[in-house]
Amino acid sequence: MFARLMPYTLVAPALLLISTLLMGLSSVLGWSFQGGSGSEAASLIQYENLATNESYRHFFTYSLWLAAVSTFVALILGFPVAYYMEIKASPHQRRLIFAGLLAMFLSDYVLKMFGLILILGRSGLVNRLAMGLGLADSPLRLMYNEFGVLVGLVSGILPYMILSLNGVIARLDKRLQEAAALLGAPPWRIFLLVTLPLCIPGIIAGTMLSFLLSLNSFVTPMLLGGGRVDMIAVLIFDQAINLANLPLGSAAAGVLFLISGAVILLLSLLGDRYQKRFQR
Amino acid sequence: MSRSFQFSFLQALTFGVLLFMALPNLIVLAISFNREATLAFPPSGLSFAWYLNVFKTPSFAVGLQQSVLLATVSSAISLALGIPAALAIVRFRFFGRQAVNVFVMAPLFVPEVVMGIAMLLWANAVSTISNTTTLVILHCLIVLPYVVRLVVANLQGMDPNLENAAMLLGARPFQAFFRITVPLIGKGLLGATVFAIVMSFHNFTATMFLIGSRPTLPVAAYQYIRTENDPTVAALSTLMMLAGILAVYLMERWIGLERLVR
Repeated sequence: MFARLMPYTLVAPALLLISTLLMGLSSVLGWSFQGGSGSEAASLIQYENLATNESYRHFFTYSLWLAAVSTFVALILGFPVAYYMEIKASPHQRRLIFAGLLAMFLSDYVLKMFGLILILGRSGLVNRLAMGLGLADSPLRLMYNEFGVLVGLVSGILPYMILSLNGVIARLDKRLQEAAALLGAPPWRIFLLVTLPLCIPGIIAGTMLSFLLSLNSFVTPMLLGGGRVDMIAVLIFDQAINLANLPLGSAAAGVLFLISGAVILLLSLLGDRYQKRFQR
Repeated sequence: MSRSFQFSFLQALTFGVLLFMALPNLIVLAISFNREATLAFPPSGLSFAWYLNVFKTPSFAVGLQQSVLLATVSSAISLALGIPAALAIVRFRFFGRQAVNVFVMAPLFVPEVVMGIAMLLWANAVSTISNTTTLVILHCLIVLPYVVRLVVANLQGMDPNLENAAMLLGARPFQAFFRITVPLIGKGLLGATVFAIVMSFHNFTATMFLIGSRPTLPVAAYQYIRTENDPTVAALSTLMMLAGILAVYLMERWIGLERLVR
């Protein structure tokens, strides 16, 4: 009897902690169904408001766009790094890059965005260089706009992308590439037809993680967008904290939760399907 | 010829991307020694005044206190809850095991803003709870999945027969755990602790929803960046980078960097 109850006793405290989150999530759901002006009946008016009001809708479409672009750029920039450190780098170089990546991964996000402000700002590094070299007459506008936010998002997700890709590249069976080379395939063909397909699980994992991180980003639009770039997290924070409009903030949070869930589901299904096809 | 070109092109690209990632930190380091009260690059002269200013800024002192408190308390609680849960998941086969596994990982699937507003509403509903207590619960929720995952990985790498042997020789389960299991996965536990502390210390977005009058250190830095325009935050960043490098070093020694991320 004791032995049968043992595992439940062991997990109970952790489950109790998690249940506070579930209670919180159900209050979010509850608040999101509230109508305006103190009416008690549940209503969909907040969701309707989000769907029909052009300016609210823009927060969602624009965040999805920014997340997609930043993820794509991070994939293009991250792949060579992951490939280099696994295939070409010496063990010593590899350890060094790895430690650097982890330091990046663990460094404070707010302070990283501060560093980017020092690079992209009016009298930042890029503008000083551009004007010093005579490439620009007046300071370029590199932040408080879409460009600044994209740079911030890419630099935020790159470590995650590289580490996800690195995982699959490390497990590549090198004999497959050697076999392709022996059969006369040129390097670019080996890369496109052998290496890249084998990396797809890592690409899917990295894409999922990066897309979600960008989509939910709050610090980047606040610091590099100056609060003027429409991202969902900014909308939720403004509504819930600054405007004390909890019903609308909750509804926006509910929609964000749904979108994130859909992204996770979609990409995991894609990953599973790919894996199955691969095993056949 | 063509091969060596490919090689150097890849190398240059890698170097460029790594530079792009490291540049913000390098600039911060340079600016923190600026003599003038501006954030303009390049620095005009050498001065350590901003480092002194970090310690003279009241909101940073409060922030450090609050962040250290949150990080230590919430990682201690997460370990206390996470280690038994991991033991149950690895060492027992019981009804609902898969469900528990998913449930414990649930916070990973909730976007941080959603987590922030959820715990804000939860605290409003409970009403008698203090801001700091809610923040502790929030940070525990954020850290727990990582703790469980790291401890599960460590337990799976250990031979359960060692525990069984101890118990066959008459040790009670608690004795077997503390005298056999803990020493064997000790380094993993230390690594999980450092990871938990770092995750809690750096959390910003969800924390922002529950900040009362006492900011955490990242929130204090954020507020300073938005209102002031001098290199004090750069000096603070440099100090935090040093702490981060120490954390990476400790984790490399205790769990190995590659095991942490794979």
